[in-house]
Amino acid sequence: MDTLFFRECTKLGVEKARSTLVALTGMPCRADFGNVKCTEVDHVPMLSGYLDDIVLSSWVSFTGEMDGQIIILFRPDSAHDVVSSMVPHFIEETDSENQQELEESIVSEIANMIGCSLLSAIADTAQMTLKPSPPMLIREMAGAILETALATSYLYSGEVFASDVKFSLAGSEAVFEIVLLSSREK
Amino acid sequence: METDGLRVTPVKIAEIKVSNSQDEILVAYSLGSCIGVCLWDPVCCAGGMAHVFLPRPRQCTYVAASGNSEVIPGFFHPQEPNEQPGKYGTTAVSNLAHSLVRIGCKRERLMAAIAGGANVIPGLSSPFGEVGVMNLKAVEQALADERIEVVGRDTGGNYGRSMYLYVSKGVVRVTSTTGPEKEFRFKE
Repeated sequence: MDTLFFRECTKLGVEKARSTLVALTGMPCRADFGNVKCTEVDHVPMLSGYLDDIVLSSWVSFTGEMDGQIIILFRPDSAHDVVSSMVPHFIEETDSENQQELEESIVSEIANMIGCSLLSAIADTAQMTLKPSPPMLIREMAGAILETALATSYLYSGEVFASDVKFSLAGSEAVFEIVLLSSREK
Repeated sequence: METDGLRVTPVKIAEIKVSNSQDEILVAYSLGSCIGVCLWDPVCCAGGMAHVFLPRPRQCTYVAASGNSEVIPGFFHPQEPNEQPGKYGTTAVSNLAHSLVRIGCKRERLMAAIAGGANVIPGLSSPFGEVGVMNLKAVEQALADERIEVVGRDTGGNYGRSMYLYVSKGVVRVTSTTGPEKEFRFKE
């Protein structure tokens, strides 16, 4: 895997997730890509720019002809803004505990779409068989999530790819990072 | 986190930093499976911090939970010649202690506080267990080998932490995503 391959797969994956989201919600949705990079291990916990802040993130691991992990980190407030746009009335009328549950549920779905689409794109492009784990939603310090995933990924090659993605949905922007920790192909 | 106008110096993954400054805080942000190790000398009022990333370099013998010992090629990252000694539990503690001795501390006076070693991604594990647990074991063993007493610890669990060492006061504060901040004092 190289940065170009990761960029292409990320674009394919995010585009697929974007069209699914449009079909599901009927709302206009645009995806913009920022910085796609293969980064140094020591910089990984700082990728999100919100080292110490609590973020909502989705994590999925995969095995097969290549092993790895995909982590999608939503920047603080992004998740809430998107959910408010998608179901404004529900948000206004619901207490904060239920709001958080709804937020997590919707973000989890969006992240799963992106993660699964990215994984399919990698598998299709590289003609590999990859088997994902059940996705997991985690609300934690961004740096702690990345650091823990990274330490475990050291049993792989230590390659880390990251891409900033901005989803604009119905006038709200959800900014998130997609981080891929991958092994060498087996 | 109150910094009282003090200078905050981050200690990033694999780094070791020492200080005898009166106005400095050393901080390891968002520790997940990593371990923050603080050593402090109560006479010099100097201290340091290591941000341990992995238990040990590659080609080490690892004793699995079953009791079997085996060399695990490729499991741990190889230690490069210029690699930072703070990266591994097995090398960080002695290097941190040595760095403190070089600024005037006495090895026999050093005291320790540790934080981290969590698994914030439930279900994520290596074939030999959780990295956080392995890190913790490696650091505790290294501290025991150096005969350094651990006077404060906040380890394990499934949540992230940030660790702050107030160098001149000998105070360690640990913030986390769950529960109140914890504070350890090296001397009362």
